[in-house]
Amino acid sequence: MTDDIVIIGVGETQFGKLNGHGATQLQAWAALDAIRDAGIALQDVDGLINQNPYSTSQSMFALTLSEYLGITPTYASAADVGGSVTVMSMLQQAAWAIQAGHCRHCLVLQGENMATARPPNSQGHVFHTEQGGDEFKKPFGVQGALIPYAMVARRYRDESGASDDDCGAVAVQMRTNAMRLTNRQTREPISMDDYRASPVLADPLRRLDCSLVSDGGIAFVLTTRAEADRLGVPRERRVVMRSFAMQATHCSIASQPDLSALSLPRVAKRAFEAAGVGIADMDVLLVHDAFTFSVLLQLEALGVCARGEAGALFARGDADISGRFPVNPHGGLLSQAHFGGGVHGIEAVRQLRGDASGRQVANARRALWCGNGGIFSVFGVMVLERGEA
Amino acid sequence: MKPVISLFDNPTLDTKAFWDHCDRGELRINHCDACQRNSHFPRQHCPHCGNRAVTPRAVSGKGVVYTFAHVRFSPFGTHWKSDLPYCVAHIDLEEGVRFMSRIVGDDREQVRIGSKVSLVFVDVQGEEKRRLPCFQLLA
Repeated sequence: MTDDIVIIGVGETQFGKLNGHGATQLQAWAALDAIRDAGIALQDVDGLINQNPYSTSQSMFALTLSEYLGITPTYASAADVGGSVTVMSMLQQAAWAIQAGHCRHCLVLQGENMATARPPNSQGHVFHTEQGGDEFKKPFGVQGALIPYAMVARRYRDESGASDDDCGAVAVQMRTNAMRLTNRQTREPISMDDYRASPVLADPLRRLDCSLVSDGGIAFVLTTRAEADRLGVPRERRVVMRSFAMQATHCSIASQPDLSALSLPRVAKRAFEAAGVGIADMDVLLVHDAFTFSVLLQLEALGVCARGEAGALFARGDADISGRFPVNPHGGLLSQAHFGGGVHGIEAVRQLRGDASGRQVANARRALWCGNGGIFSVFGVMVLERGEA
Repeated sequence: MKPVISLFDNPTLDTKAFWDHCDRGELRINHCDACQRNSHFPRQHCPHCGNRAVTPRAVSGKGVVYTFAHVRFSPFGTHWKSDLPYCVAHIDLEEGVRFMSRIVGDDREQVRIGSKVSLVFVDVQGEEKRRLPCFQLLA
């Protein structure tokens, strides 16, 4: 990607259960927070890219948000790829739109009331997928994300030798991290004993292997480097997206390929090559942690450690903020909030700007954001850097 | 075999024949008339080569477990509780396709990755005419 485009603002709502707030209010709340953070005025915003919510599907959602905010953007688009890859692809679209001259200050928004808008009796995040999705899952008793991911987790643990305690180490570290910030859905720390006592919902997944279901919203403001200069945004408070790569392999669990055919290793290779860096150059890792084992699988695929060794990395403390490979200092989807995965991108920006109060990774200059969506259906990898160069 | 609880969507143009065959006790998988490869789920073309002539062919019913999960909570409200724990599984069929299904039988908690299984059609509670293509462990 280009370093002519910079992220100059981030925003977030309160996370948790926010009764009465819909996707529109949550995205607008985050947007206004990011606009203030960027130091621009509402009417300076001339680009808006947002995610169409899953729990309350909408048509023309970019226009809905523009109208609600009170802006008349010269570039607007609603997007959906899957999970945090949606957010990465919206950031890429924003960079393209600004670079091509369609807008100058572009908002990227994700947010919805995932927790409070769920239909009765549902669990996890609600997906509506067509062919190959619901019709070939539901009759067999497969629904949501937990049961499909239990099937993937079983296979991963069989191939890698990862244990219950390896997964538990991720759960405990993410909760420990979340306790260092205030805007989080979880309240109490957990121990390995709590993890071991957590009920099995679908073997091998326990309740504490599963991420949260949250109401919330996040926002980014992007502009050109020249405009950031004009606005007087200090260089150390700008973040550039050095590279981004993604690849989809399937949509539904019903069409899952072999674990070895998932796209992450190829996606990571492309993202690293495009940025001219490797995993050892990363100061902080933001890894889509919809489930504990997901983190282990992704760290191993990224080359952080060998297959089956990621659990030991957590047990040793290497994934803590002072460790060799700090992972999700904000506590991630497991312990901060989960309404699609955008919180990882927000944390990347805060870490790189040095304002991750109470959980700052020392001298964080380069972040790796590893995301996925669906049932490991699509992976995305983005390398972000502090924009002082 | 004890009838299972199941929830069916309305079939589409692509999938009606598949479910109709199941209700007659036959599992059929699309076979490409051009490249001779099989595919699942049913659609009106071959996802390997793009050819639009595909023919549903009966399978042997033999397969190997790729992965599985024992579900210990009801994801569809309280009326599924009587089936708990039920075992969902991905079966790699002899014909070279991966098929999402359920493992049934009192010994289903003995299932392992790599277990050999065979097709069995199971009646569905409250759906007199429907039969669900499930698998059972081979002794």
